[in-house]
Amino acid sequence: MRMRGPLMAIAASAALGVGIAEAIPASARTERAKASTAASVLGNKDVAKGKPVLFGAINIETQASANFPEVREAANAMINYVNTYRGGLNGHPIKVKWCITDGSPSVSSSCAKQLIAAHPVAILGAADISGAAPLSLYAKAHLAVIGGTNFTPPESTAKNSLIFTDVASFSNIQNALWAAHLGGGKKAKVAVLAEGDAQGEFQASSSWVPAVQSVGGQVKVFDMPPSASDLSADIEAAISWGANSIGLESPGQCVQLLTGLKTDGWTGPVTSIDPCSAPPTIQAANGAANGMYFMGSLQLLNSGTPDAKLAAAIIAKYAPKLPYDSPAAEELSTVMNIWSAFHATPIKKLTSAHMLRTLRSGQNHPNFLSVPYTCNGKAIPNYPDVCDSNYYLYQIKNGQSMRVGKKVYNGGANLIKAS
Amino acid sequence: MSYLLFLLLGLGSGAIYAMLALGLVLKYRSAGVIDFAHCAVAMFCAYVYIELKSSGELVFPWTAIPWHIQLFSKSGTAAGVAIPITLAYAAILGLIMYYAVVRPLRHAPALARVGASVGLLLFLEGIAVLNFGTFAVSSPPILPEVPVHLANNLIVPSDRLYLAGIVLAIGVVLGAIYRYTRFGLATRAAAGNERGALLIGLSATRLSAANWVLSTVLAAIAGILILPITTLNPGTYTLFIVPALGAALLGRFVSFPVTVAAGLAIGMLQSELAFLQTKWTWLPQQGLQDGLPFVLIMIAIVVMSRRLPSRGLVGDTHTASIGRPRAPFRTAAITFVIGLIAIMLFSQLYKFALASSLNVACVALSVVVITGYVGQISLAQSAFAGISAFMVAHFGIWLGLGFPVALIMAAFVAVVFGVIIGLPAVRVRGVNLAVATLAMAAALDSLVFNSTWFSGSYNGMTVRVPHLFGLDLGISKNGSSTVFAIFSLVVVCLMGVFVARLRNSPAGRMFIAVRSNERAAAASGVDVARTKLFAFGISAFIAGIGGGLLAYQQINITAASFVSWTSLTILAITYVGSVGRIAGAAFAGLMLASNGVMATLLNNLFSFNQYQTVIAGLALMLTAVGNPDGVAKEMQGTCFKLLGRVQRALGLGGGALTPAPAGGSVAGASGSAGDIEPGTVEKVAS
Repeated sequence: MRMRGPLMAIAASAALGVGIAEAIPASARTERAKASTAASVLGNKDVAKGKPVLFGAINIETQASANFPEVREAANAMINYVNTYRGGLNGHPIKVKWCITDGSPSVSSSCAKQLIAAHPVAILGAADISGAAPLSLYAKAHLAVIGGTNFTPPESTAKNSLIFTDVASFSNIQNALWAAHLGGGKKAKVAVLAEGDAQGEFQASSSWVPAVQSVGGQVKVFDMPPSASDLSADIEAAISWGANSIGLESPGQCVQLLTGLKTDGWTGPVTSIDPCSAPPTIQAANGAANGMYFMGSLQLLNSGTPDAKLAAAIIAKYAPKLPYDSPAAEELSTVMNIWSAFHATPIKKLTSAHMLRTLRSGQNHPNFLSVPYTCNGKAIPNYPDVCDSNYYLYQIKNGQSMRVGKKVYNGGANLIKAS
Repeated sequence: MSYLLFLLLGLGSGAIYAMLALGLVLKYRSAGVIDFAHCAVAMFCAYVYIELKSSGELVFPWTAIPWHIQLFSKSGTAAGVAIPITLAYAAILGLIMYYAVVRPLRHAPALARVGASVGLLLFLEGIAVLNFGTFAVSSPPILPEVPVHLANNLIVPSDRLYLAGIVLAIGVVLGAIYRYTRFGLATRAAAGNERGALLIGLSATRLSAANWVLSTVLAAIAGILILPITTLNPGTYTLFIVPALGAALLGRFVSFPVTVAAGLAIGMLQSELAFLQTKWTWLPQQGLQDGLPFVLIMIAIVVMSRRLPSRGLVGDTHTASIGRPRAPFRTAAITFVIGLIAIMLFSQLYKFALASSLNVACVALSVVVITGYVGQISLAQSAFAGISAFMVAHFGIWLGLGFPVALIMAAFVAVVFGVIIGLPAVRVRGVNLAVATLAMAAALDSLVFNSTWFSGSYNGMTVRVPHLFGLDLGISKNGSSTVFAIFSLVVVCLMGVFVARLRNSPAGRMFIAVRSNERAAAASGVDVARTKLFAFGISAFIAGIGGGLLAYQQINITAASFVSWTSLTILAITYVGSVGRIAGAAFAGLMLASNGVMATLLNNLFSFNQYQTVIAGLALMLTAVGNPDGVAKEMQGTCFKLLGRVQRALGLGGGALTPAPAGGSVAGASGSAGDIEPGTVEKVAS
């Protein structure tokens, strides 16, 4: 799940059992083997033709500190695949009008208006942190937002939104519970190193604190200014407080925190939010991420499942440089889930209302890279739009993300408060 | 012992602030520029270094066309090779920036240089986002990194000590250079009196360029040395500007040793606060460290205000020209009719964009008042808008108040903050005030806007839909923006009339008097302090109305809309529009706002929003260099010329349609009718 392009391709090949023919030069052998394996996993071509089915999507790519261009890349890769190999939606190719935002509500609202003006059938959820502003505009235009990453609570609560698999909101509860477990449950003293902005404050106070307290542990949040240049004092403050387990809730400062913890001699357990496990972050941390735990809701590419093999083949063919992190995986899953649900639907019936109604009815729908989803509003009671709340435990070992155990985690749903 | 440990742990942060602050002081001393892009330059040079070291590529500050060349093998090169190349690169970059941006603006108003530096900041940030992405990168240690046992339980990483030692040494060397060497003395002479320096054979341009190069190299050194202890992405380094500016201000933008001491002190105190927060749990647990530079700046202002650089030094000798509104009601009526026609013709997309433009124009109007008319550089306008926007929501929740009472009351709450934030203006002015207001806005970000109780944190706050006499003025239930755009147009036209009337009123003339010469104004009976605070209050009120409009448009508002950096952009785009003119605010909203009509049009036609930051930065720089007095003034001049030709063609003779010179003004001879050119004064009404 969390490897860079070349590594990912190698891992994919290994996972698929690529053979080695002695008579052929190594590079040519590898390329040919990868191509033939990818082709067999991708299946036979069934190219979509005719009038495209238009979706709109907003993606955050021009902010100065946290962008997710890999989400657009992942969506385009999967769309290319379903349009070429799966016949698109009932024979019609999927097309997306993208609007790039900096994540501010004003620019995202402007984007929303541009998308509405293009008359898409629905909005393809992607990565945006602007919250409710664009969602309310979509609601007024009777457009549903389907899938993507639920970075902010409104995406999990709006009437016109649907999230296949929780990737962001609920993960903090899971991470906090695991950090408390590592600290000894009731004996736990969990220090949460959180970025001192609205996101950090919200996640620390609404997820980490109640989750650790729910098992009887102690928790203290160490707020770090976004402008802090050297975090050694904050790390030292956490250690000197007597922490026996550390949680990281600071997506913009992962590398600094991981290297700082190593420099300061911290040898206790570290549990982190998902962005700290992105492949480029692990690489930048120069080994300091080893041993770190995190909760993820989607399969790793090296997990060996059919979905993981297909995802690896699609990435190898259409987006070989894609950093496979959670938002990218969620986007692959989103497009595939939409295809699964509507590939046989006549396009005249493809409206936002119909799509929402269909996705919310029935149960145990196939969920690409995850377990089957049921959108009955009960996966996380106060986040009714989330259809799947299951998490896996991962750990970084030798610079790679590896699954720990076979257990699926989804406790603490009652800790999510109503917005 | 723990207290001492945390003080020492702050040496790393302190050294970073000090090193960046030294570059800021150098630039100010030589060219009179507060370079808001200084940390962005450090960021870009750090990328140059890390790319050389890790992939052997030399990267350039542009995008789309090939922006890197393979200089070494793909496995990169050694730090010992990469560092000198990066420093040489920085020297060339500094020279180019000086001749392309700084030198053309040498005699321009200080604000033009602020606009250009903001443009450069946006440009470099945008380039870095596009070329390098935002995943953090780091570097292996450059300085020795071993734990140093200073005493029992007092262990400090050695690289922090080395870093502090290096910055101290640089501070002392720079201090000695500028005190004892011919180069330093010549720089001081040229900065103090350019013509005098020329008479004795010194080239102010060459000296200034050399200093600019030196400061850019210093930025590169800072960027490289701090890499191993901090996170490099396009956004992080930029945030260091507030504490660095604080250190530079404490050093009065003059003293290198004091600047170093101040930078180190800020870092050490921030570190100590992190420890004290664990000891004294009654301390606010959020925002305290970010608020520290502001506290120190305020102390500096109170204690050292007489010694802070002020008007009369390099960079503050010129101010932008200001317009004199004529027939404001008629102009507003014409504007309203044109706006109404546009709304009727526009599609829903452009109606929404027009409403966004109008919101920005309203906040820009507040800049026209405080900066254009009174000459006070405020970087807190976005904070005023934010306070008001959230108060609109709170008044709805707490008191059940709706439009217009909630909007007006919220704007008055912004007035209270305006007067408080304006207090430093009583003692300092110019760029020092800019630094103080930016630090205050940053403190508000951390302490107020990020707090759940005020802003609802990530969930944001929802405002009531505005109604007037039963008419729904908000974005309609089917998403139509027609009524809301008309509502915004009415409000902004009213604000325009208000500003125009204010400009022509006795209060407005007092504003101009204070702007022109505070001592002369005081001598003619103007209470300078009260006038400034009054202007801050009025400006905050207008910004508050703009914030309220934004809240009504977005319905759900979050702190992200009002971060302190937005104020810098608003100031820059208003300046480029023409900071002394109401038309300048309109231009800023329509043409330069990131979600306004022009941006929407370009995005819709060319899907250029990925490049929007880069293009906006470049446009800001070019416009500031090409039109240091603002675009609206140039456009106004062109309009009058066209009008004159029409008059002549119609045989009406000169003066029938063109406005007459302003009564009561000694200005206007060289600019548009009724204008006040830099350096002229207007009669103050009794």
